[in-house]
Amino acid sequence: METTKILIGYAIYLPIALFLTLYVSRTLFKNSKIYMLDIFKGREEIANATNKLFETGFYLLNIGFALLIMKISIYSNSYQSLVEALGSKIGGFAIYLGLMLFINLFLFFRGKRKANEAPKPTAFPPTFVGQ
Amino acid sequence: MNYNLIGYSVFITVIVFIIVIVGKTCYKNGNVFVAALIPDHLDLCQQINKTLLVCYYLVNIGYCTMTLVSWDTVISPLQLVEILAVKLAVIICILSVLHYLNIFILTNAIHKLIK
Repeated sequence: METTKILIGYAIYLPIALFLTLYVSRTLFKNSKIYMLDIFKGREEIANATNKLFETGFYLLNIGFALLIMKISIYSNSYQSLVEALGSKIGGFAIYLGLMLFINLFLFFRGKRKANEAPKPTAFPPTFVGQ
Repeated sequence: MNYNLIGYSVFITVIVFIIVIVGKTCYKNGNVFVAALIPDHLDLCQQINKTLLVCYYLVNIGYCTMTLVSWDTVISPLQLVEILAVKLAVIICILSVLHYLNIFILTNAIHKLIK
């Protein structure tokens, strides 16, 4: 029966996708705290809060995308086509996760560079006296 | 056996769980940012944050229950899994877009405050 094969495919795909997301975000956000501390100039509570918020967003985005692309359609009813479909699904998802990881890293580096630049000009325009 | 009813119950359970978890996290970590808005009134800021949390729950859970109307009739377990995944994914993606927007606005505002 074809439906059972596709169900087997879902039962394999979902745990792998969730585990990959968990693993990547654990690794990323364990190491990102140093950058956050640097960006927010050592203010620990703001750095921790922002880090946690980014982590939540990362989970939401990736789990949402994993569920969105879950639908498998195989035309021939065999284990070979199931394995091939699973391979392309999981491979595509892994590449997407890698891209997301690099985008996040880029955001951290950008924030670090911006924080190290000269401070922004003050809100009040300079006043010219004696003209 | 009505697959639609199973689908509805699973959908509501999972989505309420996700919304509550995300709301709790944002509430706990957002206190720092909200407290910076009105510097000297910590209790007032906490009240504002609590009100925001309740509004967030109401809007999101209300929207999720409203989308139940648009489900197709489910005839097989396979279709049940697929439709559940897509419906959950759409809601989660909306949540993540809102969440990133919030982070962006908050960090931009906070940079002006700490300078």
